[in-house]
Amino acid sequence: MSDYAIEVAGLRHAFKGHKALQGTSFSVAKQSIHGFVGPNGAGKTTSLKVLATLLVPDAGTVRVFGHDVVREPDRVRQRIGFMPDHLGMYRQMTVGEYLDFFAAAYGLPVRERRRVVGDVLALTDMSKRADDLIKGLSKGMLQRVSLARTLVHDPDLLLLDEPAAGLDPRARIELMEILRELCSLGKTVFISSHILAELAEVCDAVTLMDVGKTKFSGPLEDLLKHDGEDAACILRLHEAAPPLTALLTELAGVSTVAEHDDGKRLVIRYQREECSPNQILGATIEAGVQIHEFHEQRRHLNEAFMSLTTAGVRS
Amino acid sequence: MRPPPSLQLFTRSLREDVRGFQSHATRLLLAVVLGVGLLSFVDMLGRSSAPGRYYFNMIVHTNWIALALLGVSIFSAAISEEKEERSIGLLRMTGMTPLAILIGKGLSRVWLGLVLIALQLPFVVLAVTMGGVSTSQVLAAFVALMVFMLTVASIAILASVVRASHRGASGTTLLILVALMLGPWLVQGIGHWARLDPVIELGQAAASLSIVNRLNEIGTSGFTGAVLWNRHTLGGLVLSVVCLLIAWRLFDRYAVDTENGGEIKVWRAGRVSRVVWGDGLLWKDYLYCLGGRLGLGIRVALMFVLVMLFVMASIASRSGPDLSDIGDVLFGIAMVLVPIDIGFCLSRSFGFERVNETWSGLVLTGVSIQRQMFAKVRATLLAVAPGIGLGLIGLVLGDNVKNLFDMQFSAWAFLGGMLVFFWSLCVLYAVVVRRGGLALAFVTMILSWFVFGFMGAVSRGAEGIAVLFGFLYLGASVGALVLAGNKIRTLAAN
Repeated sequence: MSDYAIEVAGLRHAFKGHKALQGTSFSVAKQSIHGFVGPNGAGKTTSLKVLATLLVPDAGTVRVFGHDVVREPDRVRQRIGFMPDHLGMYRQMTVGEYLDFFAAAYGLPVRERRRVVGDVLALTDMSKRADDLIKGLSKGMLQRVSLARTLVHDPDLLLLDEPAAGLDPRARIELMEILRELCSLGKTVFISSHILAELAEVCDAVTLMDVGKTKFSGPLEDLLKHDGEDAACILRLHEAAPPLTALLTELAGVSTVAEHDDGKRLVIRYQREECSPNQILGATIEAGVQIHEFHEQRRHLNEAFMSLTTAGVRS
Repeated sequence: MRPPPSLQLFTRSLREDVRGFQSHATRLLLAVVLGVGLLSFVDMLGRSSAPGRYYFNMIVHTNWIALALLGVSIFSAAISEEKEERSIGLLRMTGMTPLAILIGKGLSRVWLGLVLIALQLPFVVLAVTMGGVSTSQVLAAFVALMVFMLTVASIAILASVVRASHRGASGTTLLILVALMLGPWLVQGIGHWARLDPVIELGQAAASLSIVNRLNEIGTSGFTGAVLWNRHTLGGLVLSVVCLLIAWRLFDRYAVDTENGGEIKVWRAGRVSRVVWGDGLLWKDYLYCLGGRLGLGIRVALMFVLVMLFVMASIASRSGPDLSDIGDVLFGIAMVLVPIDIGFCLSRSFGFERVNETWSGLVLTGVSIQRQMFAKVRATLLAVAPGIGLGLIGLVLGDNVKNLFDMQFSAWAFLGGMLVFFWSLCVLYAVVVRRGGLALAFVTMILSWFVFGFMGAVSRGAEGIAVLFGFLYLGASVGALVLAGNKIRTLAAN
């Protein structure tokens, strides 16, 4: 039994000579929220369509809960709910009819359907709109209905392609809250976006794609640390303490200690392999200096995104 | 100098037409149809006194049907496609007036029809050389067809202004055209039944405006009527102008670019979600793709009108209708209408998923594409049930109908294969092209009939060729359905 909800290895796919995916590999842990980030044209939607069994890849292995998407598409479909970036819906139906129809198409018995539709409407906060025509709904409402549709057969894995695109800030926050709730119910959420910061607060891990290749895959913490430069800590003191600067400079692994604000704020750069924030903090406390604030300096999300992706328009 | 706004729209559609593969392919297909049709009539040269007239009549009658189908499928998208793309507001913001939009969008459609008609002129003029038809007859027929095209285009544009979706506009255009075709006969029938001469005369006057009457009149030997200005031309032009004026008047009221699109509120009941049947696919296809109870009601009403027409005509000519004759007529009506209706329903229900971009959602339910397609076939059979019922009643009542059972195997093979092929084409074109699938299926069928006629003429063994064609049709149907399935997979992945 695999520990992963998704395992992708060496995934390749081309459309009419254009290489959309060039050996993508990543994995997604069960019961986590995993972000799938990359600029436009990075290959996110193509990867999601392969995961959703809608597209057969040219090469590579893709497994969902241990099932191969090419050889066992029916088993995969039972366990996934896919929300595409376009909201293809029967706009002439009411919200209730639309969800009831998909529940019936998934083979749920009539009695169960009523309960399930009620549950997903409640979860997406759409209960009061059950009798509204889909064609009269706003974009945010349509996203909720689309999300509700992916949930009617109680899938274990949700594949969401840009679900927050075009939503206002409030609708985005509400959507992220729903995703957290779904994760707490034991579901794995794989969500794509071209905005890293949008997913940062909700994701446990992230995969960053560019020009059809995986640039990074792992916990968000690692992405923020990820590059060859030294790490840095910020130390804010009650008052300047010149002996502390000398003490810290002599610590093994510390490269530089820079003083700011008349010596009240120190920026300590160090090599991760030889030193750690704990050692720096321990040395400061031993020196008997009053500390106001201490934290590890992180790269900004946008910095990480920009350094891992290439510039320019993709063909 | 900046061209007028309506010309800008016309230029845009010309540019799209030139770049689109589909439009060139359609014109090529039409040229092939005419070429093969001509070849199939060459055989008649030595055997008939007027082979040209047969050829001419066949072409012009095929044309009005094709133009009516173009109206239903493509002309009716003139304004409704802009509504669906929510671009009416953008056009209005550029300063374009409703009239400029109507003319610009309408002109591009009319141009498309004109090119199709003009393409046929050299082929049809050959009918004069073949014998049995004069140049003035050819010209009169082309004038009549162009007027008919203008009328159909105006009706379709009006429908596309007042309906929110292309689907609605196409259905409305079809209903208006059917009403215009049957209305005069119904009025005459009522006149005969009530023994009111003025009503009969009114019905006859209206019937003389119809394209079928006009083409029949032109197709008779010794035609000496007016080529350009006649009752049909004037009536058609007046109707076109009236439709365009109404469309112009209603434009800002109904063709607004709101979230829901403007539409005449035909029927609005308090909306409560309906319970989906156990077979969800059948429920969705029947109720939402094929009109459900409303569609059923329209079909029953249409059948009723047709039956009443015949009963009234029988009462007028004799002491009362003969049950056996009624049975024969009912069966005849069903034999013509049901196959066309099945093609229409299949085209509509497969096109529905393409327009709504819902194939991916359906594929992910785990229900195979074959089962999804089969559900649409079942929904279609449910929708055309009134027609099938009418045919069955006719079969029980009619006497001459029973002669059908004496038909040779070759005829059954040809007819059966042909119908299955037509329906398969409707499915294929509905998933391949965005609009005009039904018209394209019709044109392809005509091509196949010409090829059949040509093969029959060359081989002099019509029976064997009929059986061969029956099986070829079935083989081609399987191919068309496999292609449709593959296209659905592609649509689901897009």
